[in-house]
Amino acid sequence: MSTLRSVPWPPRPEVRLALRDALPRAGRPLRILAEDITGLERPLDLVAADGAGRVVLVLVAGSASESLELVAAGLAERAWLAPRLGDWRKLAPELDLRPGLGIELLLVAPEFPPAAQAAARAADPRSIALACARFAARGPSGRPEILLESLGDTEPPVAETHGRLRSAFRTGLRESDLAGSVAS
Amino acid sequence: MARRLVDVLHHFDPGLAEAPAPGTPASGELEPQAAAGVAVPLEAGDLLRAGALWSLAVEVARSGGAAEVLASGCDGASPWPPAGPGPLGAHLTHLEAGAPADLAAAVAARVAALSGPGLVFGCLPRTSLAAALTAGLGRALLLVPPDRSALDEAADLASEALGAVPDARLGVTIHGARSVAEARRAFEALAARVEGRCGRPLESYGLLVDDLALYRGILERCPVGLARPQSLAARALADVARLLLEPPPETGP
Repeated sequence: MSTLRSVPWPPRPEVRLALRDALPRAGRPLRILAEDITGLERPLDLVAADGAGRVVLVLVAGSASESLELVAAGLAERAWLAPRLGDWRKLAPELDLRPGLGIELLLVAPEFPPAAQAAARAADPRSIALACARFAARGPSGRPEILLESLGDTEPPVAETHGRLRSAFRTGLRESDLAGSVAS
Repeated sequence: MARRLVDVLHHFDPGLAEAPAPGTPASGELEPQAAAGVAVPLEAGDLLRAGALWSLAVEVARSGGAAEVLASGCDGASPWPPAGPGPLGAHLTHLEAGAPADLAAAVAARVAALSGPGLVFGCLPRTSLAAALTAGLGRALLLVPPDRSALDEAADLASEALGAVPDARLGVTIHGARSVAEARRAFEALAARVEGRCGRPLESYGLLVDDLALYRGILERCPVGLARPQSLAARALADVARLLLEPPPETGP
């Protein structure tokens, strides 16, 4: 049996290629819509959509030391992309995009130090996903493969921002009705 | 919460509480709605959900709708009362465990027999939900605790069900909440996941509280609304019953 050997973090274009192959086969498959397109201040590595038509913006760090920067860049690029999705939908209705679901940010880096994780949680715990990626190859001459590991997810992922859900919570009870009355 | 005389009549003479026939509004508060069947995932031995569901059926009856529960796997340890008419006209039928299509047919037959507003709850294992919806039970109610693992399970169950029948009306009551805010957060987290996966909304049917009265009612095998009508559990059940009997909620585009 060949052993796995760790491979150093490759240049961003190689990471992007590996993700392009891996994301459509992930547990939650993503359709790749665009690759390496111009964003606000940096190229958008991948733009994808999930089964519900929600857009996922994938940004890749150039190195481990860039992960905190990546969180900030991700927020800025997402804000830049959001108003353009309506046009994308008109230009390519066959993509079945649903801009109303918001944009999920998937940030990929070799690691996310605690400060980067805290920043992502503080900025938007619901629709920023952090994924640590490692590259490994089988045997001395094997082709590097990407291994993705999700981080955090301290709250259930939410598909859209508060108030945009189609599902609306209903109750005739008020908070004061429950105060001091529940079982301890 | 103000109550009408008919709501408290059973305190004075329990016999009077047997009054309304199925399909006959008890309080006259409801706009006429057609009766409907509702699938409720319920595992054998799940006393808490079973007890809450029977109490909910009695509250539906109190709210003026006919209320029937079709349940299988009943035994002496379950919180179900004996089969037949129960308090306020709520009715329990014990079924032999069968195929989901059989349950869907049984529920449809009972719905067809009702002349006014009301609900027929068909209890079934969670693994049968998608099949029962496919067989024609167009509506389901999930009683979901607000903890992470329960929300995970509910999201999978709802996604599977909506994957099989995208037009199904899937309702959620957050069960065992300690605050309205907690129930709201849990519902929205669940709905967001299901919408993200399926693009379909969930319907919200309020919350049932973590109230000792509910547990006491289960132990005493007596619906909470009758045993402790002023309890928070009873008020929450009445609210859920009202929401279930109302027309479907509006959903966004």
